[in-house]
This record gives sequence, C-alpha cells and structure tokens, in this order.
Amino acid sequence: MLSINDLHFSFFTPAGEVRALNGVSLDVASGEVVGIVGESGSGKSVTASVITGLTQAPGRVKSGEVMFNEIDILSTGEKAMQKIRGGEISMIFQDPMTSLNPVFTIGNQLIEAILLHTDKNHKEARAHAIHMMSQVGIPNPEIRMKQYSHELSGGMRQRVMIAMALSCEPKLLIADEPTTALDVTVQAQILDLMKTLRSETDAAVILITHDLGIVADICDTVVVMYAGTVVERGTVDEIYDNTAHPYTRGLLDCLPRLDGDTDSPLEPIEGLPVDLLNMPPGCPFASRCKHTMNICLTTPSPEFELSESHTSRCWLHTASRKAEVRA
Amino acid sequence: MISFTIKRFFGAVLTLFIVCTLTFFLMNIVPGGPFLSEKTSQQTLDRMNEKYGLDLPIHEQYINYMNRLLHGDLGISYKRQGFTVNEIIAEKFPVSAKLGIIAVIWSIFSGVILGTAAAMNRNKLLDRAIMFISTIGISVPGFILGTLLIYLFAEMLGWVSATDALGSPKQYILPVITLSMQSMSYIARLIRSTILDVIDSDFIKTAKAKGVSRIRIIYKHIMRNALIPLVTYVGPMTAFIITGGFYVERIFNIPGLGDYFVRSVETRDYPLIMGLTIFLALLVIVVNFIVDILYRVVDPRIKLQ
Ligand SMILES: Nc1ncnc2c1ncn2[C@@H]1O[C@H](COP(=O)(O)OP(=O)(O)OP(=O)(O)O)[C@@H](O)[C@H]1O
Ligand SMILES: [Mg+2]
Repeated sequence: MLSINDLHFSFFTPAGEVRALNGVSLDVASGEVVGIVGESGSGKSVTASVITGLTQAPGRVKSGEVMFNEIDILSTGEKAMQKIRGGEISMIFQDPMTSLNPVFTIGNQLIEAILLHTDKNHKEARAHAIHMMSQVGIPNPEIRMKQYSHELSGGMRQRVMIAMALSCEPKLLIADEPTTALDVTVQAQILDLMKTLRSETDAAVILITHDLGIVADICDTVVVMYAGTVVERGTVDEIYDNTAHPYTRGLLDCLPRLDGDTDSPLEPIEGLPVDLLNMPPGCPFASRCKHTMNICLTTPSPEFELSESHTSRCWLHTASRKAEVRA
Repeated sequence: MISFTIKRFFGAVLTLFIVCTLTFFLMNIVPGGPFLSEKTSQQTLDRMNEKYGLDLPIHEQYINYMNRLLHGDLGISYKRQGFTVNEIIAEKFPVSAKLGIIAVIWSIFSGVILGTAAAMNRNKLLDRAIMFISTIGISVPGFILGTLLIYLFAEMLGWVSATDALGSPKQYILPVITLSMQSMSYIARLIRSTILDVIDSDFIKTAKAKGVSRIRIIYKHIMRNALIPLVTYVGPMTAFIITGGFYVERIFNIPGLGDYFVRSVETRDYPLIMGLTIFLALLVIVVNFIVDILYRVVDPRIKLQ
C-alpha cells in the first residue's frame, strides 16, 4: 500500500547539507503495523514528513519514490495532498499538550477534520465526533466537546488526537512517538487503546518510537533506522530473536529485560550518532561498531536479504552468512 | 462574571478618585492662574477669584469640587463664558471620537494586514520593507509626521487643504495617518512576531496534518491566536490615540476635544482641565474594561475572576 524506494532527503542549511535520509526504502501493507525505531536524529520524523508531504523549509527530497496506493506522493500537488492528509493518511504527534489549538474547543477541531474529508453536514459531523470520542475511551464526550485542550489531561488529549486521526477512516495512520510525552501509566493506557483499535480498524499503522519494548508489543514488522538509512528490517520475531545488525543488537541491549535475565547488564551504545553534515564514506555506524572491518570504513554495505522478510545492511553477513550477531 | 464586574467597578472608582485628586493638586501647584494677565487690575482679579471660589483654602476648594463632581457637575468654563464643561464635552467630543475611532480601526486593519504579509514573507524583501517602515513609524513623533504630511500634500502638492479641517472625507486622510502611524507600526510588528511564534507550533502541524488549507490555517488557526496579544494592546492604544489626538488636532486645525484640552492647560481653565482629564480617564477605564472581557473571550485559558 505504501512503498518508499531509495529516498534521499537533505536540509540545505547555511552550515551545509544535512543528509537526513540517505536511501530509505520500506513497505507497508494494508492493515500492517510497522514500527520504525532508531536513536534521536536517525530520520524517523523526516520520513513521516515526506510521506505526508509536510517537509520543512530548507529540506528537499533529492531523489527516490514514495508511492501510496498508486499515487506518487512526491509529484502530487498541494491541493490533492490536502485531501490525502487527514483523509487517507493521518498523523498523531508526540506532544499532546501542544498538539491541539488552545483557542478552539475540542469539538470544533474534531468536527473541522470530519467536515474536510467526508460529505457529512455539521450535525452529522458532530455526532460522528462524539462517537469517535467514546470509541477512544473518553468519558462524557458531549461535555468534552465543549471544553478546551487546557481542561484535559495529557492522556485525554492524546485520546482526542487519536480520535481525530481515526475520524475519517484513514488507510494509513502515522503515530510519531505517541506516548513519549506521557507518564508511564498513561502510556500503558494509550498503548492498550492502540492495540484495541488495531483489531477494530483496518488501517495500516506506522509507529515511530525509541522504545523497542513497545514495538514488540504492538507491531508486525520493524524497521530499524540509523543516520537516515534503514539498517535492518524484519518481522518482530526476526528482529528480536535473530538480530542481524550490530546497531539493532546495541538498541536491544539498552532495553531493561523483563524476563528476569539480570546477568547481562544494560549497555548503552557507545559514541555519538554520526554527523549528518559530514557523512563518512563507508558504513555510518562503523565508528561505533564493535565489529568494524576495513571494508566498513570505505564502502557502505548493501542490503543483505536474510529471509524473505528480513534484511540487514552489514558487511558481517558476507563473512558469515549467518544472520546472528553476538555481542 | 458578576463578581469580576463588581471588582472592576470598584477598581475603576478608586482609579478615578486618584486621577481627580492628583490632577486637582498638580494643577494648583503649577504657577499662574486663570485670570492672570497684565490687563486685569488687582481688584478685578480678587472679584473673579471670589466668584469662582478660588480665594478659599485649597482643601476647601478640593472638597467643593469633589462634592459637585459627585453630582455629575463638572463646573463652568472660566474662559468660554456661559458654557458648562459638560456642554463643551458634548459638543467637541464627537469630532474627536470620530477621528479617533477611524484611527483605531485603521491602525488595527492596516497593522494586521502588514504584519501578516511580513510574517508570510519572513526575511524576504516585503518583510524587510514592512519592518523598515514600521520602525520609522514607531520612532517618528506624530507632530513631525503631521507637519511633514501637511507640507508635502497640502502646501506642495495641494491635494488637500491645510485649513479646511475634516470638511470632506478626503480631509480625514492626513490626520488619520498621522494619528495611527505609531499604533499601526506597533501592531504590524506585534502581529508579525506572534504569527512567527505560532506558525511553528505543534497545533499548526496538527492542522496541516488534518488537511486544512494554507489560507484557512492562517485566518482560523493562526489569526485567532495572534489576536490575543492584539487585544491586550487595544487598551494602551486607546490612551495613545487620545493623547496623540491633542497635537494632531492642533496641527490640522481640528476643533475637537484635544485642542481644547491643550488650550485649557495654557489658560489655566481649571474646571475644563479637570473635566477633560476625568472624562478621558473614564474613557480609558471603560475601554480597558471592555478589553478585559474581550481578552477572556479570545483566550479561553483565562478565567474571569
Ligand atoms: N528543519 C530542519 N533543519 C535542519 N535539519 C533538520 C531539520 N529538521 C530535522 N533536521 C535534521 O534531520 C535529522 C533527522 O531528524 P528527525 O527529526 O527525522 O529525527 P528523529 O529520528 O525523528 O529523531 P527523534 O527521535 O529525536 O524525534 C536530524 O539530524 C535533524 O538534526
Ligand atoms: Mg522525531
């Protein structure tokens, strides 16, 4: 349904070209839930902004292709994109505290979205908004409709955002760190909600997060990004049980283990993310990797196909065609 | 809402009381008096002072004045014989009010448009031009601008008459521009900076992601937020335009309240000074009260209390 092919995107800043995306490819099938993980600055949000056509000013797509249901997003005009945004593709952002307009009621903002993308009249849109609010577990939706965002808790606001995003039955929902700004108990509630909704709607979901734990919980497949490239992708089982890329291994080692295995200590990945202004010629992860070989420093690794659904960009796979990297 | 109004009412009464008292004593500290001129003999002077109660000790004068004020009587003008201050206000205020209201509307209208245009073209030529003009607009005093405009458009080009004050709609142009230049420039800068604050905020991102059109994002989602600081500026702007009116009416020969005010101070026409000060203070208080209510309408985060 969504297919991104070798996407290159840069911000042309006064300091130089910030290469935010360097050949990102990924596919999302209808109904699939794809997790995108990676450290801060790896290009997760930029990827989302390209999909929705909401890229920011000094940034420009250099090459690549984004196809959404036979529509070529990159060559679609602004008017047509407005129809797609909020209609077929909708988004949920990180910070629910600031994602709603403070001077309009919740109802006003929900109804606005519904009126934009359906033929409902105002009364029907209102009824639909109330229905959506109760569906995402907001008590007393009729009262909430008349309230302003400052009168709602963070969790409630994020529920409103979810209701808004789902109100026009999107085919693709992009959630950019939807729980990061919430406290832990509320996080769990929102994740539960997303899991429930997952089974109720047939929308495909791209879930962007730092948290591999969340990914294991909700996603079908995982895309691991580093320095604007997809370093590894596969099903959740493949990523967790057959970890192929040293970077993914590193991310997993950062996770506190809930299964009682306390022998292996938490290990953050050493070193700093690569400078996107001065990309090294070889593998961007080489400077931080424990398995760096000579070739890693000079030539970026191609994508190795480890199974039909599992790929990894690491030269180690030529040495041992074995997909496992042991730390 | 009701307790808010009551609180504000008492606040207003207190402010007015302080304004009256201060003006009264300040006015009396300033040397000179209403009937001092070389031609009057000491005898006439004494008679006049007695007639208007100016021979009494100052605190008695004050009490007499406040007593009359409580009954809504602002007294009789010393200089414009036979007219009460109330009558003068009733006659002259409409002239000033008309000019002032046009200037307020024009300031807001043109300021908002210029500020929006500047913000939408951030750092481009249009933005730079508007910011340049508004910097000048804020810093050039009105009496200089007014004099310049008269010189240019009345004396040199002859497009308007320098003497026929407000005689025809065309005659309003120069006084309105002079009177509104500073507030227009200020509003343009204010609107520009608030739009630039708001435009990168998350809720604008949400609106875009919802598929709201660019135009609608500007006039609905951004403007409504940009109105909040604008509304808070309406109070000071009113005061600005009232005081600005003093010299604008002078320069353009407009027979309004402002011109009277200036002359009343020059001639020490005590009741007129007092009356006009109180009236204008009341005006500012009323406008500020309306602004407070309006502020709470445009910004739902603020509760009346
Ligand atoms: N407006 C911009 N101008 C210049 N560089 C930018 C801009 N926006 C993003 N970048 C750069 O692009 C890179 C990718 O940013 P992106 O926001 O996609 O990261 P992310 O993976 O979403 O990180 P996070 O987890 O912190 O949200 C970063 O290095 C960032 O510095
Ligand atoms: Mg991000």
